[in-house]
Amino acid sequence: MQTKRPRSILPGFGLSLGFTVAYLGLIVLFPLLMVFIKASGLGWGGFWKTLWTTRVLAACKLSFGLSLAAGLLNGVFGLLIAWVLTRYRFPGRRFLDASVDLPFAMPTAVAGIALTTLYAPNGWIGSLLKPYGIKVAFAPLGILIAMVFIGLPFVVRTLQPVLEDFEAAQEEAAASLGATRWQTFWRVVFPQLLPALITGTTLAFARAVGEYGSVVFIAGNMPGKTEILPLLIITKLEQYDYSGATALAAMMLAISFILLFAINFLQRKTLVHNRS
Amino acid sequence: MSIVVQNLRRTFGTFQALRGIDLEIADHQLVALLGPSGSGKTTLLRIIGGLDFPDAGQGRVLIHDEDVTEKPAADRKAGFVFQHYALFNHLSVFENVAFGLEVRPKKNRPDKNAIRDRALELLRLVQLEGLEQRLPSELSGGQRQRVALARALAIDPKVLLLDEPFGALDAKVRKDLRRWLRNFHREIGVTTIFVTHDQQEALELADIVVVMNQGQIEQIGSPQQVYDQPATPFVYEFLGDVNKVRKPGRPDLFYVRPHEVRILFAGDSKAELHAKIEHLFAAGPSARLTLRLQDSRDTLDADITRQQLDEMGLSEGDEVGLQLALSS
Amino acid sequence: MSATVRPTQDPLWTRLLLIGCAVGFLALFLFVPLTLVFAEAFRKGIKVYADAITESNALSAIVLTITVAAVSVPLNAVFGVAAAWAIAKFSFKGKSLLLALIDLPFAVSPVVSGLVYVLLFGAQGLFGPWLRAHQVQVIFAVPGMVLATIFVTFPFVARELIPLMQAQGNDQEYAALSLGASGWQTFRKVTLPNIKWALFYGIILCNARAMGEFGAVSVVSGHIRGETNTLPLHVEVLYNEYNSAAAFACASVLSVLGLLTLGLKTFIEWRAGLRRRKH
Repeated sequence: MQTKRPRSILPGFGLSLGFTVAYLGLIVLFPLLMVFIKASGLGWGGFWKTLWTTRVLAACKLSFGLSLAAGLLNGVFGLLIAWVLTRYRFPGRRFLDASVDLPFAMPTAVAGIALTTLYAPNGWIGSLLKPYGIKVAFAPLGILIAMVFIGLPFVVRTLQPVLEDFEAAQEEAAASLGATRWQTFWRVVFPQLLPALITGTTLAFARAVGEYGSVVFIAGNMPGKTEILPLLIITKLEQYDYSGATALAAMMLAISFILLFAINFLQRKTLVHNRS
Repeated sequence: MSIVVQNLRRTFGTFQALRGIDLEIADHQLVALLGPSGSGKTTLLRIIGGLDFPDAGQGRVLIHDEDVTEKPAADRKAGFVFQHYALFNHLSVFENVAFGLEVRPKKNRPDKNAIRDRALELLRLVQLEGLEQRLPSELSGGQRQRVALARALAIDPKVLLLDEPFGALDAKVRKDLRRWLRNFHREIGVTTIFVTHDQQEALELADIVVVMNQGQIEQIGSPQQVYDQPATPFVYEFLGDVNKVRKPGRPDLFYVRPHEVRILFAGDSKAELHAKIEHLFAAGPSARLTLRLQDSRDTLDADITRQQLDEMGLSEGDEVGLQLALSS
Repeated sequence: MSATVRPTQDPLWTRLLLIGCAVGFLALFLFVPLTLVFAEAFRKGIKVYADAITESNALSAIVLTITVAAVSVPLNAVFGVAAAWAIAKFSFKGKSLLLALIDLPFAVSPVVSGLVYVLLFGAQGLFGPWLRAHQVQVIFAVPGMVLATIFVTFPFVARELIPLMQAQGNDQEYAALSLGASGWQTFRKVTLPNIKWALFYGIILCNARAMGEFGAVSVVSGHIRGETNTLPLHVEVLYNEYNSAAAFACASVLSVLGLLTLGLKTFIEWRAGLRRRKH
């Protein structure tokens, strides 16, 4: 980074940067800062007292546990789908490729009611699972499915460019040195995909933790059992428990910032790696 | 014979990359596949290495008298050095070199110490001792090239295949590494084929030069043979500078290298052609003349010694006679 | 092609197995739910469907959805262009921090995005007393919904434009200026044509999210039928009233919007050769 701005003959620096910073500050930074200011008003003691309740802890366990599981599931299937889409040529590939973004394009509420109806005990899939005693909708399993749905594109879209740019000669080199296809994948390709895979999985995890619309319908929302963190915030708001909602929001924000920082760090690492 | 290729054909869509290649390479030789881009030289190298395959039923590849046409690369023991090295970016120099030994099935795999010794020995051989813990990104181009070579040698290859080995290096390193490779090959003695589009490199380095053009072999021979007795006009033009000259009253084209043009005084009776010096450039022990032929729009280049230039007192604009040591 | 497998190719059975898994997974998670939306929407016949989406509350929800998008998308587009101009064309201290901050809203839960405005403009919020004294309502009203929508769609245009403009460099602008063009002419005649597809792309994605946003808008909306319900909120209300056919009818309208977005997005990627980026 330069310490001094070199003079540029292009106009509009002050105007565009001024507008950018002002808009960013008013719309994003100042409102987010409010959460922390309000939360600090509670004091450490008050803050922990608000958070350290069985209901909040159960919601944390549920949200973070299931999001982690969803992130990992997406890691596995996202890698598989990205591999298939970049490496194989088959009819319908482009269609499949475009459809990966469906969870981004579909409003979350639509996904929410569709998944719920699908996995409800009388739904298309729910009725198939019912005889085996598997309950999906209004149970943690349903939340997991909604979280997998919403997180899938993150992993696929993070991995695809890395896979596309992967030097075919490295795989050929491994083969000419006597490696089997599996050894080539496991020892040569996979380690170099790993930073992108972790980035994608982290993005999917972060999205799952904060996701509301597609999860809230299928969750069932029983306090302590299927109540996720974002819903708990809304519940507290509806009960005019502003300090409770603020404390929860501050915690979630802190966690998202840490994740964002980790992702940025990982991506920079990936870039450095790929430059070599 | 170390490598035998018989009637090999390879088509990409409608493009015929190789149109019937026959080649025999004796043991311990250093062979250059020389040709312009698109001549099929890299495709041939990749097919020998098992990275690509001929059209179904179109040709055979034998390594050490064994038919390997259908054999996957992993089973060929052909050490391949890629143009951009294809080093494994996430592995250290040492791990790159040891890779080929570590992926062997358990029953053929040397133990950890043997792998270690072999890898370090190879790194000594390519003069990279002390760098074994570096990552490829921390090496210079020439060093990467030598890691790639050591890695290919680790599997005790029957043949060594190098794709444009100096293509990605700058001129100075190229020269040094060229000399180094020549000696290195003498030391290890493995039959080696390298692909290049640089005639200088092929002529200086190889025992045998295979000149390729448009998917076919134009000529196979020693550097001397392909330079002094080019088999086809293509070889003549591709190797070294050449003038194309039409003698007055004759329809066919003659090829003559600049140093084969003899400059005479304008009145000399031995002169076959007459020309005017259009441009003169003298530096070092030789001088280059650009000559415009009389009664013609053609020009040709001639190289003469500085001594002759001074003795004859030539300067731009002078009329001279020419005698051509013509080969057609 | 020979029968032999090239070293960068997987054997046929591997390919078939993996393609099968990928197709199966995507079918189960994406195509079946999408199909279900339309199946449920038309289950009680076309008339019920038509009634559901032309009923007055549905219509006002559609109008509100469009209104909210019509305000927030242009604002974010202008911001995106300004931010990209400043970041891509000039070098200054703190640029990478600014870049990270622009992406911030994507990392925030939609519910929290709504909450921050309640804390600012709600009855108990920082500006609550002042707003009440002046009889301005932000929360549980349209202004709050617009603000929340701007927040969640904030980075879309900027993050499409910044990498593109950085890659394009300044040479063309310099050339235009040296030929005597004014700054504004340079932007309009040189920069804008170069970024138009990326700008369009960003606007499409921004619009899809603006019209489909649920969580953030839900927090700041008063859930007043016919007044502060956008279409996604209207879907929720109908669904919770067990009016499944009407809920899915409205959901199908939103799905068509989503599919249209996807189609346009794919078209632009193909047309402009834009590289896909994650969101």
